[in-house]
Amino acid sequence: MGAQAIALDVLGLRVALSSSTADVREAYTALFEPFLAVPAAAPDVRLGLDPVDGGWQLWVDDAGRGFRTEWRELLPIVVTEINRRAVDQMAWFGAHAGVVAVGRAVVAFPGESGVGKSTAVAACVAAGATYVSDEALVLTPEGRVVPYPRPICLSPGMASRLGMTGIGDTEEVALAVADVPVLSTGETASLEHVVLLNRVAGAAARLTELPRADTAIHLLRNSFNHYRDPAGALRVTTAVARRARCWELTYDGPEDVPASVRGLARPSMPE
Amino acid sequence: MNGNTGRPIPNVAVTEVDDRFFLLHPDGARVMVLNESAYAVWEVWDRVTDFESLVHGVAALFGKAAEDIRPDVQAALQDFSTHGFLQD
Repeated sequence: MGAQAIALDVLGLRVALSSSTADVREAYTALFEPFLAVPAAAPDVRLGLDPVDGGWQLWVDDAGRGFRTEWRELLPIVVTEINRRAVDQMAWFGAHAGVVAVGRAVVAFPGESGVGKSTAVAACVAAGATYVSDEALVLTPEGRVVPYPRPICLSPGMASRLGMTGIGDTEEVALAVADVPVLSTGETASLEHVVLLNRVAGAAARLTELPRADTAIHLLRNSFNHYRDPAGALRVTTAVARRARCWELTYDGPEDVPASVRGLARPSMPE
Repeated sequence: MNGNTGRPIPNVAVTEVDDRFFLLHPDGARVMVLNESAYAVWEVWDRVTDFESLVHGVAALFGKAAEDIRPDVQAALQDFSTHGFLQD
């Protein structure tokens, strides 16, 4: 590894990514640009992608984790592996959610896998929103949003529909975020709106305001680590619920989401 | 009812947001979200020891007849019990 390793700091997880091939290292850099860091003497995890036996081997801490004929097909697994470890070890409260910022307003879309978080986020980013995360709403104990701009993961069909290109295989591609506005990983921001996605074929886009308490309910319901500090999780989610507004967005397709989100943010930002 | 109705468990953390009350079970895994009237049942049940006192206490809070709210009080206690917020 050594000189060929790229160092990341992902929510406090120190990662070393390596490859003997320059193209792979360039892809790492493009995908994980917001997390580039000074190399750690002892990284928490080491991942590598190298050619072997006519294909490509992904290894994690010296153990084989996948083999494909093309290295690009292994990158979504790299993203998933880093994500899993990063959110497992992080000290902050986290909930499954897509997150974007429009002006100063941070908007979160909490929900389980498959609800359309990444697609909604990608649509907003394609329309000019600042990217925060397609995977997790991360909150400090004071309720501030910690950016987690991992590569956006989408189906190739949806990426194409939104005019975006990524690296991956026929099931999932990871979109580099180097070319889109990203909330800096050194900052925190204030969560202003929580939007529950309700995709209904043929429906006109409509936002319905819900009780503020629903914010806490949905963040707790979608949290992946509230069990570690339940009282702290309740404290932070209810603190956020007192100031953020909660909405249900009924919509037909991802292209409907950006306009609705801009409408939420408008009162607090110049166009 | 009420020979079998449990008492509120101790050490439940309560937080309120816009008239919704979040009860956090001391095991950390269970949260109940109550409206104002259900929370009144929880609060009064923590202070009185028999079901009739509970019904009358809640009725007085909302200016209602005890008979009118008895089924709702019973349902609220059942809900607390189901979610593990009552103990024998």
